[in-house]
Amino acid sequence: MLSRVADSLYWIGQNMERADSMAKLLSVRLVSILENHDPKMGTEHDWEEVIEIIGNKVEYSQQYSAYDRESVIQYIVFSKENNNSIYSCITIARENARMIREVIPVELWEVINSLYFKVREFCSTTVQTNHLNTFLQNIHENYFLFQGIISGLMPRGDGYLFLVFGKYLEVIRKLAKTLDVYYHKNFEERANIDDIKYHYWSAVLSSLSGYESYIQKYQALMDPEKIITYLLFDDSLPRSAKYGVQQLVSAFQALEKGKVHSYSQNLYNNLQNLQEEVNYQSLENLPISLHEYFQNIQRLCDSVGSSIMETYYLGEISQT
Amino acid sequence: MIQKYKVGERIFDEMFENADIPHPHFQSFIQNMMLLDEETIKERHLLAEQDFMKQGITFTVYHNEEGTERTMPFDPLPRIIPLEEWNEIESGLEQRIKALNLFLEDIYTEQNILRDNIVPRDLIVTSPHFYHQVYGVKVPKQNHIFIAGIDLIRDEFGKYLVLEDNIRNPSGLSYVFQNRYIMRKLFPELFTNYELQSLENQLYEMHASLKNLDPNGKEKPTIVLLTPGMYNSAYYDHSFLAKQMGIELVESRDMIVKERIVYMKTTKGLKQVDVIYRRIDDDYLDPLEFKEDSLIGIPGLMDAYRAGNVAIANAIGNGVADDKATYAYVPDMIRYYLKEEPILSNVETYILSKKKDYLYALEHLDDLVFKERNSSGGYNMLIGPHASKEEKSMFRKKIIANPNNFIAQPTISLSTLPTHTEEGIQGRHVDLRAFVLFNESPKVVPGGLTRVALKKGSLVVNSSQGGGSKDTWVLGNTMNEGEEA
Repeated sequence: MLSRVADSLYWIGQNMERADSMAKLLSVRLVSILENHDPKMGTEHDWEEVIEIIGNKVEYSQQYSAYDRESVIQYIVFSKENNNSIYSCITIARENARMIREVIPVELWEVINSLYFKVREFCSTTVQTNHLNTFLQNIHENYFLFQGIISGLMPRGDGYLFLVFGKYLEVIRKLAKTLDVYYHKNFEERANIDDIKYHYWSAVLSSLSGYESYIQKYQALMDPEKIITYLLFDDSLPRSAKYGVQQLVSAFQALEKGKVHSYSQNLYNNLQNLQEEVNYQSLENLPISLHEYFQNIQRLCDSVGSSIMETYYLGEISQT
Repeated sequence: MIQKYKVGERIFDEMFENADIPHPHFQSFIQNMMLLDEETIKERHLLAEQDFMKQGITFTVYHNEEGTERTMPFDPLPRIIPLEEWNEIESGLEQRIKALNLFLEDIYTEQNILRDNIVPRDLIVTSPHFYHQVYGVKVPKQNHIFIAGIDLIRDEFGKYLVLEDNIRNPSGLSYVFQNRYIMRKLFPELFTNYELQSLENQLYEMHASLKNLDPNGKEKPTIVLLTPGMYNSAYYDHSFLAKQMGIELVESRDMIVKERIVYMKTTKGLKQVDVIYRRIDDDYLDPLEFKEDSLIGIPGLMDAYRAGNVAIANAIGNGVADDKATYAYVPDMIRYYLKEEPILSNVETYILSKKKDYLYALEHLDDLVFKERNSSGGYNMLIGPHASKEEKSMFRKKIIANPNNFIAQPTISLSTLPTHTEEGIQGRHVDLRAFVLFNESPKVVPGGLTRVALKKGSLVVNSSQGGGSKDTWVLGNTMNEGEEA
């Protein structure tokens, strides 16, 4: 497989995942902010949190003066200046798909292409709340269409594996980043602390697509430690860190036919490190603080990412 | 609504003999059409447009920022060609391509045709497309023209004439397939009582032709299609052909030449490339040999080619045979190389480097069409009968300054075909780009791309200037013509 093609697939996987996770997070937020917000404090801080998780605070504050609903939505959904806005992610995925459409199922290309036109059209209109909800729902549905086509139609060859790399690296990274921000929220000063906590943590689960399965497993007990343990280490949750890492490792094994060559040694080592890091049973065994741990996971993901690029010559090509 | 159709004067119409009587091969079609009302046609026409957009069957327009992609307008009323008519076109095209291929082989080796004074030496050596870099280089299988796109028009009597030979990088083949596909999908009832020659096998043929060029004699040669990239206006064509043939679509950044061998960069390291179907013009292919500033070429490619390690299709230097002046000599080439009379005629052409033609043409500036030798896409021409005084006097000056650079032809009003327009169904001028694939022998793709000038009265069918396209049906052996009458 051409390195350029592999590179495109990797970015398609990553950007579709990113667009969807932002849409998910945002649509949960739109509702939960109303439930949780502190009447004394306003919603500013809640919106700032969103930027912390899925944006770049420095970049944001250069372009906007406040953390209000309109600005945050503008930045996260539509901004062309924000390379990680939903608009940008879909555009990047589409440009890459367009370059390699001859090697992907025609259905996959058409889903990405249609979604791109929808996003572009949506970005050119003034947005009302009900439209925004429909739009985010649309992203979500098309994302599942995208995953469904991959799962149903794509041959399990190298191309598929690069999509897997892109997807799961993003899943794990986003999970760590989200939990890192949420875990540090302090409710101590709030009056009805139990209610708030309940809504808060169920929103966290929802935005990481783990709400329903968590309830089934642990019932409606919103215990932050349990929730984090579940999201990180559960083997059966398809969006847990542990599951994601397992997918990366299997993709590597499939790509290298179960062997480790000198050229792929580095990638192998980085994957091993990441795997060890998610091999805990509970948070009590962590030797470091949770914040350090989440940072660590993100760093390890970055190392895996760059060694994928090196091992398969991906970066080299996209720079020219 | 088709009853209100008007056939122009001194113009051949593809569908109607006159206002009341259709040509026999269109009779069933008109019956089929009667079953659809105008609203339905309009609606499906719109669906076709959306379908093209969704599939990304677009070309890039360069001069605006956001909406840089446009679909090629598609018209649902097809051209239908009866079998006997097609058989003659087919043999005419095969003959022409054979002669052009022999001409190219001759020009880049022994140049017998120049020695025998059939084609003037000056014409060839002054051509900007005569590449000394490939003089004497052995071309795999002596095949210079793996694919050709020959533009045909019909004069007022319905006679087919060759307007242009495109044997460098003809584009548009993907639209032939897409037009058929969309017609089958959206207008199935129009096909009732027609059996068409199928397009299905053509891409296999195309792949076989490329494989045949492999200089390394491998069982599974690596074949690539080299594109300038997705911002090229013909990118859809490139991507479609690569996908349908199952070959790699590469850009120059995917390629590298080492020790006279061409490689592509894969996730498992370098892989040797055996055949390159390039969709990049000669001048940009290799910055070491041609334009130095080309960013879309492969440095060292020519060196690898000369060493016989890689095949390039179409061969380099074909432009010397398809410019507008050499065109005039194709009938002579056919007589010279094949000892046959040409089956398809040229449009009568005055070559202004010839004194007699020059004087005649300048005297008849008002009646003739003047074209620059090396331009294409419908640009840089003077249409005498439609031009203003200023345009004419400007062109006259250009001609006098450099007569060698011009040819002149009588104005021929292209044939018309009923076309769905804003003002209902009206006649619009069409031409036909026929595609010829050349493996061991030439094979013509049944039909081709019917291009239509959508502007009323316009003769310019190029997509860059408001042209659209139509499906083209070549009838099979067993058509039940007129059975329903």
